Amino acid sequence: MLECKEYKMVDGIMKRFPEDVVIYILLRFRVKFLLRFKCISKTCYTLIKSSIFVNLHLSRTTNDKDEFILFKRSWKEETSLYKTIISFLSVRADDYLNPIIPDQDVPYMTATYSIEYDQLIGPCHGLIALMDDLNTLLFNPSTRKYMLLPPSPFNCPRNHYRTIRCVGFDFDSIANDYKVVKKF
Amino acid sequence: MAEASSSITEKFFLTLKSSDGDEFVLEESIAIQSITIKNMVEDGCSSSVIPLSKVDTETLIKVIEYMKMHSSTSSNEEEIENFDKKFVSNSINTILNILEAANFLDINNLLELCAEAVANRIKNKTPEAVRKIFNITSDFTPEEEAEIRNETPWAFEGNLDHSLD
Repeated sequence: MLECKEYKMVDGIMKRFPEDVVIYILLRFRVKFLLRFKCISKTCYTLIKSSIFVNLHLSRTTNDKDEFILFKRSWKEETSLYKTIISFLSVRADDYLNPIIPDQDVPYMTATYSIEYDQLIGPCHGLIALMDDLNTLLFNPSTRKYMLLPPSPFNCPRNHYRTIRCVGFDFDSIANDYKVVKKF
Repeated sequence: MAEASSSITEKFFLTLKSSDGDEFVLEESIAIQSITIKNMVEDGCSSSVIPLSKVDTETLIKVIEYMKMHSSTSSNEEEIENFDKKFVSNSINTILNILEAANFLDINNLLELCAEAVANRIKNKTPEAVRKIFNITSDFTPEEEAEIRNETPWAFEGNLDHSLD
């Protein structure tokens, strides 16, 4: 999910400050600002994308108290094809219910005539997982990226229905990756 | 060092020398907020002048001002808070100089104060302005830069600040 290109100091464009001071400043930024400053130079880009920096940034303490509403709409486009739009709305008093990001068209989600069985879990390292009985979608509100996980190899036999009994989504520090578990 | 511990009331003074050659006499108890200076004192290098080759006079005056305020037992929290607020309203270049000095002198709370101030000052700036402030030449080709910008165009939206301070 996260790009883990190992970090190597390219050349010292920031000669004036040692790398740890630059990191010290960069750690204070929210993801949006980091995405903007990525284009400053190759050194900056490599540093911000490095797994070392990403991990430091994840573990920093922040006073951010953002609350969002995840708004999912879907409608039938063809016989068995549904179009799904996901909106993230801010619930901050000063911009009440404004979308913090443009609506995301998620073509992968299906079977959305009802959201009864949808599961929303997280956040885990800022990531949110949205699951219906077929698909799992990971969403990173900070970078506004989403990702559909590959389908589970355990198919539901024909003419059978299944419902999700419980789900889990967390970071596996041994595998250094995120894991999703569904129990039917 | 034995003398220092035997007499609590006696004050020790250190002489700090800036890169411009100016000397400043400072109470040891104030100066050792700098871990770098503290280590030198403990190693017995403080009998003569302590040369700070990386800190110019203007910056050293500010750093001493900060250390005096933060060590004085008479200044209360509110005073310190107001002092810090005023301190970080210096020009961004001055703050960067102080940050550099705080890193060299290893004064953790000053480093933190300046890093926070720098971050606040540049967070809404355009990448171009940040490059100028930090004296960075972009090594991306225009095509490469456009590509990065296009990955997350929304991060470049809004009223970005072009100013250099």
